Amino acid sequence: MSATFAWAEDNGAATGSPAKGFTRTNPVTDVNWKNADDTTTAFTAAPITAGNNSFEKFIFGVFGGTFTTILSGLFAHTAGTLVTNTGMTGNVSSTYTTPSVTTNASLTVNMTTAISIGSGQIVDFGPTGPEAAGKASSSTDNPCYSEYLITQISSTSMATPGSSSSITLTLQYQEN
Amino acid sequence: MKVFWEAIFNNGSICLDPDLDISELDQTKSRFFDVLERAKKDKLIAFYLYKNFNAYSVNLVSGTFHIGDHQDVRYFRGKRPLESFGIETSVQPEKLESPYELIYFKDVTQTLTLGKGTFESIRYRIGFRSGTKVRVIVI
Repeated sequence: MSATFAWAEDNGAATGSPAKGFTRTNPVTDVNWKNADDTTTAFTAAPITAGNNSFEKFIFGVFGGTFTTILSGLFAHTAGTLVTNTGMTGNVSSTYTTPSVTTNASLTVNMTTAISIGSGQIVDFGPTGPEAAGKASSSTDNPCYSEYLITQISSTSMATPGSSSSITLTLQYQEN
Repeated sequence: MKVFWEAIFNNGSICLDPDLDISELDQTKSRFFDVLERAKKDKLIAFYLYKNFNAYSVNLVSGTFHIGDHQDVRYFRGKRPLESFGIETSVQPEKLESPYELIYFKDVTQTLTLGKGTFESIRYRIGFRSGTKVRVIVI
């Protein structure tokens, strides 16, 4: 055994203090930005209509198994091109808010264009959950969680109808 | 391909069983935790990483990297370029002052792709720190 990793996602109303999603899905193996706040509805059944936003996605990393330290996290959109007249914004934070299609002003990072992971946003780690305060650049806690990796897709009224190409999100970290 | 390592101390060694990466001191930790704990009282003199029939090592007495196959670890940095071993980062360490502190990490990349699922890739980073300066190779 060594460290294990899973992607996970929070959805639903902000619950508790510090706030987290009412529904936590661990693991998730796909990510779809759509006009629904869940991990189950097919995006074809909840498309983003031109001129609107997707619900935000609050995904995060979960570490278990055996490890000594998890550190040096980076997060970015690293591959795939969004369709014309759509964009992606994002942020890395321990703050959860109930997902909505309203433009989230705290997502201050323009993630529309794919970049190398080395230029990604810094991600901190810690115990309890992505919502917990006190995260740091390295963690020896087991299990361990990243902060929320938050993204939202926006579109203009000129957005091209149809499905987007595959978009790849990357979380890079070190472990020993 | 199994990847494992061996930490050589002045009075013995600690090896990673690649099928059981669990500390003998703390069951929640990896085996590398035992290296860090033992290094608090014994001198760590070398660290070997075995991958793809090659042995990559860092000598923590001389502050040098050595590369060879599993049976012959006598190839020294400079006899063959690091690139010939498929190493992306090849830093010829300038002479730094001892003591040298071991650096060992797995660089893990996790991807989540719309409609295509998840993927993991791992590379290995070994080297040493001397004061504020570091020298590493990524394998």
